[in-house]
Amino acid sequence: MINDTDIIKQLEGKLETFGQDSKSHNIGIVEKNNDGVISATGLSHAVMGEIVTFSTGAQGVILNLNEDNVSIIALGQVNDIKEGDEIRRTEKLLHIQVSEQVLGRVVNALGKPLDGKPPIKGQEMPLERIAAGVVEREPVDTPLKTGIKAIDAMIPVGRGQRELIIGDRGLGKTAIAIDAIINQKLTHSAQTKNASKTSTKNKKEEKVLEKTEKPVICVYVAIGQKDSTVAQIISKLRDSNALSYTVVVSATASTPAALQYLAPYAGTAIAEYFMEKGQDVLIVYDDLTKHAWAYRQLSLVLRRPAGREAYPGDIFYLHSRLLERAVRLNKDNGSGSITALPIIETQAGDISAYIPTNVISITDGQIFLQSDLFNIGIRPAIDPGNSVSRVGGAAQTKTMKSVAGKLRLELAQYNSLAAFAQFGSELDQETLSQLERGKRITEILKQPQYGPLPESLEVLSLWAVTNGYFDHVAIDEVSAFETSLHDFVATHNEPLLQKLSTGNKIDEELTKMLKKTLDDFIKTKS
Amino acid sequence: MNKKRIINLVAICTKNNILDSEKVFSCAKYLSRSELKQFINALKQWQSKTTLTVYLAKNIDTAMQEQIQSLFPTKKIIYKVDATLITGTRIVDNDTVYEMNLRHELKSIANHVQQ
Repeated sequence: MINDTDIIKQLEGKLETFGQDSKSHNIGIVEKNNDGVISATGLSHAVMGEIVTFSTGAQGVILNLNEDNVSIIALGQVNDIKEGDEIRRTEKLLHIQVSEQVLGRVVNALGKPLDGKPPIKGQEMPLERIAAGVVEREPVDTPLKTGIKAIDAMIPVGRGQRELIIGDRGLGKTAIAIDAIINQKLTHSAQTKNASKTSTKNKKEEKVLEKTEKPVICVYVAIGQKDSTVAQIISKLRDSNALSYTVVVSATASTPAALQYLAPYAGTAIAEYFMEKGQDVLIVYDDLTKHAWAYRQLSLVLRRPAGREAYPGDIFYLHSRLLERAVRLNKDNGSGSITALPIIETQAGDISAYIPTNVISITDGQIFLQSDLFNIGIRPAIDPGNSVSRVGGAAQTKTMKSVAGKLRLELAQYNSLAAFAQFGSELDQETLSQLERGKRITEILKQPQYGPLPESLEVLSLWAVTNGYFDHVAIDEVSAFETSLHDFVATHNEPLLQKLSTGNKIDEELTKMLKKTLDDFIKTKS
Repeated sequence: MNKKRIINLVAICTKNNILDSEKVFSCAKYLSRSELKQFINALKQWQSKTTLTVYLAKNIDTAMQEQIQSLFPTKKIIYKVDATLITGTRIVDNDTVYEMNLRHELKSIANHVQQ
């Protein structure tokens, strides 16, 4: 409780800076208001991207500076703005207020809370910013574990990388991103405040975690999604105790196109706040296809020239300047990082369309989801042939590299053999065993949604399958066998899991430990 | 007729900050509908650039008016009374507004304290 003297002192402090604002304002007069675009005369000193305020209190942003007028996109309700209304400059570019309070919150593209809680005050972060230069960066060498075996083994993502998730609708793109967010729970403290019902498996996962990794803050940007979908995602994050370190920036389908256009930049501004403090951030843009649609809509109402597929000429720059801000900073600049997982929705698997090819050329790899794989039950439906991580092994621990090295090759060999085997010709024993091994690898790479695994369990499963411990298991029992293997090891040989989570290469001693544990497990099964 | 020609037309129709109505109407006869629209817009822009509107809380005498005119010798000045200013003046020069009145000061104090 502050006393009277302090109040007076604070006011006196404000008096010292009072009156330093200019007494002259540059104003504009509304000429036209159509399609959410307001054309105004005046504002001769206004700059591009500046926020302006209407006499009704609504705000807008200047997106076109024409010879005799400016075009302003409204950021709120504009039905009551009429010709002749006065517009004032705020002399500020688009920004968002960010502080630690933003964690666990749901906000819109302007930072206004959507979860019914108090407004967020903090540092003003600009929405548009030049990405860090070459000198300030460091190569990506720290893994960002998604908890999905197929990704961590074959398409590893590193902190500071941009990895695109691309596929048709309904194939699990958002599911992969949400699982990656949920898996970052393991990088935070094992004791969460509102830990409610956690399964035995989760408690075991928390036990084996060695906190050698920097915690990862997550930002989920929903662009053009359904409100019900976003509500479901928030609910899932809350139930998984992941919301406490996540920020949701929501610009759903019912919001104006301007807010859908700004939402990814707002999410990036929030991520940059934490990155500048030396923290690692994971940001998911779901999805950039709808972002491109919103920008196309804005550009068409602003009468900008339309190019290919009616997109404006700077559609590439829209995404390149966004994704270039995902960076790994060097020690001199705080060692923070932003890892971006942009999502692109394709039509009929066409990755050679305009927007997909644009974003593929910007990112450091892609995770391609195929509908054929999804339909035959391979979920996540990742196509290892078309998926790539340009960072590769640099984003993997030595433990994972030991088991995943030959996985991709074995899977590719299996796929080509499987096609050959359909012709029904007699096959030799070696080919048959290769086929059986491939089926089990494919089966082990399947994973239920909302079930990300810590690296130790991923390595355990992959080591077991590549060393023949699953060869005797029926295909439809592989999943249950794997689950009981995890439970067995967590209960009977915790030190093994701790050794597997250190990130060191699997040496002879560890190999012996693995063999003994797996032999013991198989004995219990027989 | 392109924009530059319309602007030249406006320059021809004005002299010493005064619009020559004969020239304006004689030019307008030869313009198409869209050109006439552009001509009207250009005239409005010329008017806002050459006119200064001074809002005052109460009427002022001729001496004060001459003083203000000497500050803006090239502009045509229009005086308006707005009692809500309380005291002081508000000058609108095209798209720049100069606030030197009590109403604005009180609003500034309120905003400043709120922040």
